[in-house]
Amino acid sequence: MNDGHPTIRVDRASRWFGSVVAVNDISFEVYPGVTGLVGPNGAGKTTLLRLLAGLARPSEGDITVLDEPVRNNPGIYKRLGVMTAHEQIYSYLTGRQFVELAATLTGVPDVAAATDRAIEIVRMTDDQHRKLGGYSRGMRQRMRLAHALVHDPEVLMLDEPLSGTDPRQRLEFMDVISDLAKQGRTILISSHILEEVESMADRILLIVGGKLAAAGDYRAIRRRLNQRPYLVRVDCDAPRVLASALASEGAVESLTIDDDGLRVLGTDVRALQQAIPVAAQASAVRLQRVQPLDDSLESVFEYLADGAGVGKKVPR
Amino acid sequence: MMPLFFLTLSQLTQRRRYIVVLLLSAVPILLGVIYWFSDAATRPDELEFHDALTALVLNSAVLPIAALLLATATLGDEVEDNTLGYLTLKPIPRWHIVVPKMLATVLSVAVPVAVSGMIMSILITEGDINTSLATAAGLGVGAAAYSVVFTWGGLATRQAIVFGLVYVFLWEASIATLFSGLRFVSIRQYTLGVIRGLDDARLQDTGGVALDFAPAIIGAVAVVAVFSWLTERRLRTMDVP
Repeated sequence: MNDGHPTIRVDRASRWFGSVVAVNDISFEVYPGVTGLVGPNGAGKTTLLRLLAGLARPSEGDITVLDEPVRNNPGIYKRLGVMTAHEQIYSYLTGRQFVELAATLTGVPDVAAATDRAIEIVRMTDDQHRKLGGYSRGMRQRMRLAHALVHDPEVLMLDEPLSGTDPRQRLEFMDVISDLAKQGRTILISSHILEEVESMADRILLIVGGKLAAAGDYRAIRRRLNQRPYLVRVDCDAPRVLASALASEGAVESLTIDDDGLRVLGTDVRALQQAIPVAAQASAVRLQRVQPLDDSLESVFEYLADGAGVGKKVPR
Repeated sequence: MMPLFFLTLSQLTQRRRYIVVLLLSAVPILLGVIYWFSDAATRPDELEFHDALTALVLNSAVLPIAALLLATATLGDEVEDNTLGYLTLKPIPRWHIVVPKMLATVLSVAVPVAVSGMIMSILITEGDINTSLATAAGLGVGAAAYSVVFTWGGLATRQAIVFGLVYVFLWEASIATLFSGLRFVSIRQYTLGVIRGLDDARLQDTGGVALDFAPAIIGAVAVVAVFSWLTERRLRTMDVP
């Protein structure tokens, strides 16, 4: 395993389809541990991951994995495991046959033992002999992960691996990823849900509009996220009373009262979320509804992108 | 290579289109049965009837349609179903994907069509083994050539069935029969050339377009080699979905 040495290097990679630029002049490095590749839907995450996996050719730029070019280099897949975003599988195979196929094709010396181990890791031993077509979405995802890691790769690339899983499966999946990372592997996980990735990833690559908007420790990104302007509409029985109670709060930037109720603009999301119920209770105001007005994923990602400066390389 | 060979056999034979191929392959047998039970005094000449069924039903319809239905799915369905990545993301050269897939496809096409040709021949010729084997061998060669071309088509275009229909009915059945020089680039003629070469009593009414055994074999081998290479190249250079 590599330690302190980047396992994935991307140098000014771009990919366009006709006039559409899906990935635009991106450079970064990925190190052992879990790195999250996040961004809103359509940001270019899947295209970037396909470039990193060698499934697609960059229009410009260079990509290496474990110091080797990844495109047209089948040998690299002895050390690299990939789980694509596509959930389709060979439905007529059993889960075990599907994992065995990967073990055989990757040249694992003891196919049966490697298959047992991979299935055990994803906790599918009891269901391994059922046909894939009869699996739930979450079970299929876990068998696809077993297929990707059966040859014990140093680098794992997982595109939206939590898609379709229920909350319990999600927690189990996160445990599996965490265990794999502790073994010193490089794991790159893409997701459009920031909260999903931040619970697993040490570092985050934020992609917005095909560009690398931010990269680095997720805590720093989360801090920025908590400090973004946050507009909330509050429905209550006494908006003026609540407004005067909130006026002295440091987290409150401005207050507006109109026919729709009270609108509060804050600069610290967490502080504002705590201040509103406390102020309401202190002034005996009955809250009916508290609704964030600009909390879409896209707006959150765009805020981060604007804040970090799109295209700016952020240190590791 | 064996896992991919068996995987492809499963893929091709477990789909509904394989039932269509089996039904198509039953048509020449059915016609042979009708011939067998018909009145010997009124039924057509054995030689003419056998040649007509071989050239028009088996070689011009059943074989190319069976190959079209199965071979376009060999890699085409992997692209369509987004499962090709399970194969290309493995440390194996692209040849190790192409060769077992093509062998499985040729087998899937050749077995029902060649068996159909054999049984039909036995029924019509009242057990002439030489004719039956020659028919089966010719259809086997044709199955290999058509399968490889259509496997490439399935990977090269999302409209593989349209490409195949145009190829079979415009090129093979029409244009290639108009000019004798084009017989060297016609899979239909390779098949007939092999049958004729192994059983010189058959298929003598060529309409001026005939290919000898050796050029037929060389042509078929060339088609298999060129389209196998094109398939490998396509698999190496394409973006895998």
